[in-house]
Amino acid sequence: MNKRTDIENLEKRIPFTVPNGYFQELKFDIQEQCKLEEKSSFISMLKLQIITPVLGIMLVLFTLFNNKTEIYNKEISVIELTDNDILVYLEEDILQGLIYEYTDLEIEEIDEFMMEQYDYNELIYEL
Amino acid sequence: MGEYNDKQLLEMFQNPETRNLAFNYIINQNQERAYWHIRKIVLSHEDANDITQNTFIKVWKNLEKFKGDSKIYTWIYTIATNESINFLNKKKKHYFESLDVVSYLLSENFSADSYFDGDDIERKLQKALLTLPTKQRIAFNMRYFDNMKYDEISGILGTSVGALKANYHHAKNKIEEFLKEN
Repeated sequence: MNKRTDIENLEKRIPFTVPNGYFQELKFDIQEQCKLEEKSSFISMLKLQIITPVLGIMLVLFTLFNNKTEIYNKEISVIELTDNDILVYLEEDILQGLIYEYTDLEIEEIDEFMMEQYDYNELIYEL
Repeated sequence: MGEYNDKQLLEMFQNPETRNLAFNYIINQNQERAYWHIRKIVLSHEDANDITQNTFIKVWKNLEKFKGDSKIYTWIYTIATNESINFLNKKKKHYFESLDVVSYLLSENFSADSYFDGDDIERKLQKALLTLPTKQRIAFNMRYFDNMKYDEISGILGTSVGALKANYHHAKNKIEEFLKEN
């Protein structure tokens, strides 16, 4: 049976190596990489500072254009109304008023109309 | 080059005129320690080289925001550890394999690596270490090879001192059992 090794008694050496002069080169490699990172972050920030306002302006223009198109569409729809549509719209008390303006009515006919519209008894009480 | 403490280095880094001087000093003081910490995790020299550079790029980009609530070298160790773990996780996803298989691949690779000069027992010890879960292996390396104090390791890994002590004891037993059987 194999004897159990107490690893605390071993040399505790790291059994890996590096190429000659590696750590001298590593320092310069790190410095180079950091410079490249700075450049690319600067370019990214520049892009962001240009792209964001351009996108904002495009969004505003798009919104304005959309609103104008809606108004124009509404105007067209009014023009597309038929005579019948307009008559239906006018079939309210206004129509009656207009008719009375343009017809010849006797005073008695007017009185009769007024009595239909108003409660005569209320009018007496008010007087 | 003079000697600077962490507080002085942070102040120098904030000043554009002395920023490069401060950063070069930090590289000089920490690059080897960081590299060997990473190398023990990923085993390959090429991978360790890439990860070490990435670590110091992160240091360069974030040192301005560093509040100094730990030592600079502890902070660098934390970044190096996270970068190494992220690297192993990416490798795991790339091969659609569990971390055990990745550990096996690492084990096979380092044996053939020309930058390995260990003897037979050291080779077996490294293979035994690869049977441990990644975080346990990292903690073991820091205690066994780097002789770091438990509270320092706790600050870097975010694990309690008690858990670290228990983990170390468990890892030691597992490694010794592996060496006995192999």
